[in-house]
Amino acid sequence: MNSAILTGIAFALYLSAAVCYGASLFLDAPAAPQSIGTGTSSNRPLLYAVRFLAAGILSQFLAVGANCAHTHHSPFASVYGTLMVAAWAIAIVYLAWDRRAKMPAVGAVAMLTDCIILGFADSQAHSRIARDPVLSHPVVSLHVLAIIGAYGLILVASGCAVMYLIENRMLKKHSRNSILRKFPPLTSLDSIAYQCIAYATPLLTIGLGVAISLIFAGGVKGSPREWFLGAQFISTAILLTLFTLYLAARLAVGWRGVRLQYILLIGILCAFAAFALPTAAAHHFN
Amino acid sequence: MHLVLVGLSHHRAPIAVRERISCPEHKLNDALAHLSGCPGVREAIILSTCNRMEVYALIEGADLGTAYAAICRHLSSFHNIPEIQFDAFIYRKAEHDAVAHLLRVASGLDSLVLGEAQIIGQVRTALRSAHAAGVVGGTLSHLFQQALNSGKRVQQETGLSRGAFSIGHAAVDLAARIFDLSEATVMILGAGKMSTLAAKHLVASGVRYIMVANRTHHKAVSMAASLGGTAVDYDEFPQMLAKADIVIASTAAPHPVIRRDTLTPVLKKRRGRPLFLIDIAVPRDVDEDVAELDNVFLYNIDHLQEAVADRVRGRATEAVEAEKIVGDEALQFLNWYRAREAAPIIKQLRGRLDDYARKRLEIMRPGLSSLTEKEWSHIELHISSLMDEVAREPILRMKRASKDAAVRLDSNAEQVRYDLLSAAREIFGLGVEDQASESESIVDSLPLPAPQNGTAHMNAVSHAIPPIVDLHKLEHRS
Repeated sequence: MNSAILTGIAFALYLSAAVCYGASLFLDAPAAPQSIGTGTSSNRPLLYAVRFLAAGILSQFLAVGANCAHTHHSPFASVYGTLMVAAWAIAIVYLAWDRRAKMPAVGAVAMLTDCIILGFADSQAHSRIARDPVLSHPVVSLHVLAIIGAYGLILVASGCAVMYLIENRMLKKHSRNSILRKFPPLTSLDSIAYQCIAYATPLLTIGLGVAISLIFAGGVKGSPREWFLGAQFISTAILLTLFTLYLAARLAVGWRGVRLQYILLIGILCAFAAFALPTAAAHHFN
Repeated sequence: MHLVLVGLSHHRAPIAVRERISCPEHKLNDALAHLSGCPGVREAIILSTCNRMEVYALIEGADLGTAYAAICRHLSSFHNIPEIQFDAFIYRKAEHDAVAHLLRVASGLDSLVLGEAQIIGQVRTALRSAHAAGVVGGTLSHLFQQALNSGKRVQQETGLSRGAFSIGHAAVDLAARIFDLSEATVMILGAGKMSTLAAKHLVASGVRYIMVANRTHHKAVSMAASLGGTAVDYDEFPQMLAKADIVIASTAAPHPVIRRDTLTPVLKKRRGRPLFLIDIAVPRDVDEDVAELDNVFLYNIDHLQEAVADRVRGRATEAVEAEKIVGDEALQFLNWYRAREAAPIIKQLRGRLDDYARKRLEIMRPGLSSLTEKEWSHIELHISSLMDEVAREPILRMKRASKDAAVRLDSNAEQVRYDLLSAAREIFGLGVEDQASESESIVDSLPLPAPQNGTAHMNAVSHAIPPIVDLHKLEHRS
């Protein structure tokens, strides 16, 4: 089957999952006083959401495979393939999470992010496939996979940080907005964000380490100076430093709460900067 | 005699005002003694809860304005707060308005959390305290009993209190927005009823770690044992705050026990871990400015009640049923109350007529020394019947008036009362004597002249009297 059709199916499934996660928040009536804490009520939309998500992951796996079979290249040889893998990585990360902690609000955010990425990927479906043989090298694939995985986790962590700050503000102001009840507890959001960063930081380190190795080994075009002074490298280095500080503050000093969420927000700005700022000449799909 | 109410409640008075006027249990006796010392106060009951502070009093010999002013002066001097600071929040009610208000309060219809059941216990406590202080008599006691009945009926006959979502539930709901409750540590500060209730809800929701601190340590120990927690020394609680995630403060302290300077060193140790402070005490236990601190969430009784009120909206149907019950109970009380007002007037009227008869007979007796005892008793019977005949219609009308006035729960009630009861007082020159122990049963038990069929009855009496006695002559001679 055509990769575009499979991607379209994956898009529809992710969107359905997002709708179901959202619906589960609103259809899940507040527990009656007597049953608070028992948490035994079944939530049908949540069940469907997980099924849609799993089907979407499968569909996207097939789409990536079909794309590779069609182009005879690594998925990272094009913007389209890379974005597809990014969306796929986010979906897998969230599914793994969903098994541990049921947080439909985070699920809805993750699935909508996937839909946006796939929509953007679709607009790049006819983008050029890089002819540079380096891009098909397994080491480069490792670099791209690690970076994409890290970005997926950073996105989820940032979503949690934003939710934390909104919920924190609403609780501080004694807001009685019913949306407050849909959010996971503050400490859970803090914990998810931490776990995301705890996995994202090593992935980012691996991705950056592979890139540095390739640059020094002369495996890519351009001098080390050109690469290291590029805005992309600098913002990624800042991002890595921030996350290292975040982990140190949390693990060594025991910090929690609002300040850590602000660090994460600065982190996501750096991540966007690394993605959007002009890159070194060789860091292109050409 | 006026039945008056002066109070303030959550409807208009912010907690900052309520806590200054509130009267905790240990101060209630003094407050009642102070109040009963006010001029004209015959009976008094103080209903003080976290939502309201109301003084019910029976005041004699003063107009309404003076009665209200006396209670306001008491509030001002006892609580050491200038009247101007609470005057704008005060409501003043009298007679049937005060009655209807208390019955609505006891039925949970005036509560922020519609249908809340705790108010019944608080009304009962207020009545008991007044009894213990010896400042309550028949009227207020009856009124409060009626209010308790009303509250019970509303609970039993309507769904207003069913599935109640209490302060404890709201605390759990909010705590679950901040923490995974199974991991949270709760500290209970002050082993009161409310804190125990909230703690029980938290335990039922999965909280496993509980610390209890109370000024009386053995109470902390027993509460900790009942909740499966540990008791900590009250003096050590500021240090223990570093370990707690949720603090339920409900001490009887007159001033805040958790202040900004108490928390600043604690927050350094907590390193950004959220701290949820639930302050259910009135006066408040936690200083307001603590809420400005990062990672600290402060909810006082008003915030919690607003959260509860949000969850119990949509009980309009039950509220309508409850209002009917309250109206019914208010009517019962007012019947009793008005009848109680009519009783002494009727009694005096009967007494006055009997006096006339007795005096007249005493005047007649020397001039009729030739009459036998049997004849004399016939004359007494005849005169007594005459008095019955004279009194019967006014008494019937006064009885009816007292009940009619109670039925009309509108502004005309006062007018009706004046027209019939007051007019009777004025026409017959009757004063008001002790009313305190009278009741409707008294009115009903007052001898109503036997139903007399006009001349038939008179004829019957006349036939019983020997013909030698000419009543008209007797009258003339005397």
